[in-house]
Amino acid sequence: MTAPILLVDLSAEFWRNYHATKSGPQAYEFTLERLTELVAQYPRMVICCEGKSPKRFAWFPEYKANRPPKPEDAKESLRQIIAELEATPGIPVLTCDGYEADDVIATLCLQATEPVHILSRDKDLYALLSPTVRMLIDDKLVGPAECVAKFGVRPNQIRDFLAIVGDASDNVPGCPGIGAKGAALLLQHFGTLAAIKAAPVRDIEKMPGVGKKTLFSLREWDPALAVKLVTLMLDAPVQISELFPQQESEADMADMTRIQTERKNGPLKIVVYGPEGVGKTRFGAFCNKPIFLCAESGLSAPDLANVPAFPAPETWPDVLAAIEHLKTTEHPYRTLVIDSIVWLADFVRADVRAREKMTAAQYDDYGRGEKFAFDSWVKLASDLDALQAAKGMHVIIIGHSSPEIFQNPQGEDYARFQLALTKKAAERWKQWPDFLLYMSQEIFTKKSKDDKTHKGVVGGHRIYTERTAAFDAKNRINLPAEIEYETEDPWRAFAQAVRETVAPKATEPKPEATAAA
Amino acid sequence: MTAALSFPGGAVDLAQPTAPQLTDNALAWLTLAQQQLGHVESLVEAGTEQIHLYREIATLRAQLRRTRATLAELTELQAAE
Repeated sequence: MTAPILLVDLSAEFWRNYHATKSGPQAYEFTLERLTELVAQYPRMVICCEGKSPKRFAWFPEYKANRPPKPEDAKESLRQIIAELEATPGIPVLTCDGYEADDVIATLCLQATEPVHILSRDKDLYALLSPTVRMLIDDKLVGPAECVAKFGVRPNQIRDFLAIVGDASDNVPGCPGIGAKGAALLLQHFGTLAAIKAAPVRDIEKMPGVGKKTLFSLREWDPALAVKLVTLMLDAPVQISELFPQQESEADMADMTRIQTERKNGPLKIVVYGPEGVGKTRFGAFCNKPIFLCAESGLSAPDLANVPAFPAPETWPDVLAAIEHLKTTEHPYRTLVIDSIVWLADFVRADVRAREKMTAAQYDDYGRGEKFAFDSWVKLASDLDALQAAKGMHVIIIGHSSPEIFQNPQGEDYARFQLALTKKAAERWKQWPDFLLYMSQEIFTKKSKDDKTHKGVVGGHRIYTERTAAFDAKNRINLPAEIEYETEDPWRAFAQAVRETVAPKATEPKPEATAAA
Repeated sequence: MTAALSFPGGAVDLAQPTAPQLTDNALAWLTLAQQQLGHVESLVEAGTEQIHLYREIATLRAQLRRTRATLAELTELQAAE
């Protein structure tokens, strides 16, 4: 998705429509109509609203005091729009107590790492304009050049400009006797308000159109309050990366979903396992809009702190309830990551023991407990299938590996890595996914110069996608047997490999088409 | 290809962007990538920890990818016209 994010100052849009129609219901209709038009162009729309008790009212009780009280029916219509938008999946509605919509928009613009358009005509917001942040006014995009043409100052001078001129609509007092033209001239010459205040009188006197009266006003005027009121606050408690997370890997997963759709119509089922510290959690964390079901310590890496996760479940029913919650509620997540299946095995064991009233010894006796546990695994697999059917969510299950002795009927027995579960459970989880991936760091031995000793040497990290004597793995799209990756983002390498594997096939002419040609 | 978005009042079909919009978007992505490159350079000069650098580089990579994707969309649109 390459369209910019649209930040909407909802109140401004609504009250503009209200003043044009003098009717709450009509303003409601016009506003919704406009947003419907826009959402077709900007699928990522963020609605920004004023929070309770904005701080500016505390700083200056006369702030916006010039505005007549708002009629109740109109306020009710605005509340109705907000409620409807809040109920719409994928459209975040942000309200931060103490902050106005402008502040929320400014904070989001500061955080954005992608193009942003703002639906507002508020003068304060001109301060945010840049080649990547533009305002949408009457279907025209307004950028820094338009700001200079309109006000005679650059966006980074807008704050000082508004402080000098004042903002009649917000009842912000400016410097008496100086209008827009005078303020623009002064700022063009001196650059900033601080420089104007610090300039020697003789320098200001030289400016054309600056009379003695203006000069006197400037010297007497204390700009502190005006500057404070017109400065956009950039610390609203919002995070743009949480609104549209994992934007970069969305394309990866979109490609993969297309591949899968062409082949078997379904979201992805991936089981990935391997030893500690090879990046299995990161594999899940960097996929498309993940939500983790994991132990409390599961996402402990500092850069994974913001990855969404359920509160750590404490029992097996908690685990099933979390999946049910994803299945039955609206949410923005696209991938469920279970980290890890080995951790779930403890819940299964505890649940079976409690349910069947078994002691630990009875559970282990001739695999009696495991028979019941297998039913729990079957239930989990079927719940995950139901989640995929209901929501189209991808599922990634992370597991650990443990060495098992493989009884080789054709020769000597050897050790191979398996999913660290009981044999029956491991078999179940090996069969379930489309991709069974083994992640590991390559280790090989190197002979010393005298050829007498061998030394272990650690090589690069690999995702293995095909079964070998040393481990189980599988894939259904003929991926390369080994995919090299960087531990910081294993998902990227995997997604890239999938794309490269499937892309040429997608463009190959069909046999019939070739024959016809 | 159109996708539908659920919105109050019913589903909304995504509009196909126009060539000027795509050009505008591509330029915006490229500008962001340029800014991000400068940011990364300044972090490197400041001796920032590797883990933080990786995140910033990932952002840069995403921005370049979006630039490329937007240009690809534009090329496709122009070819269709």
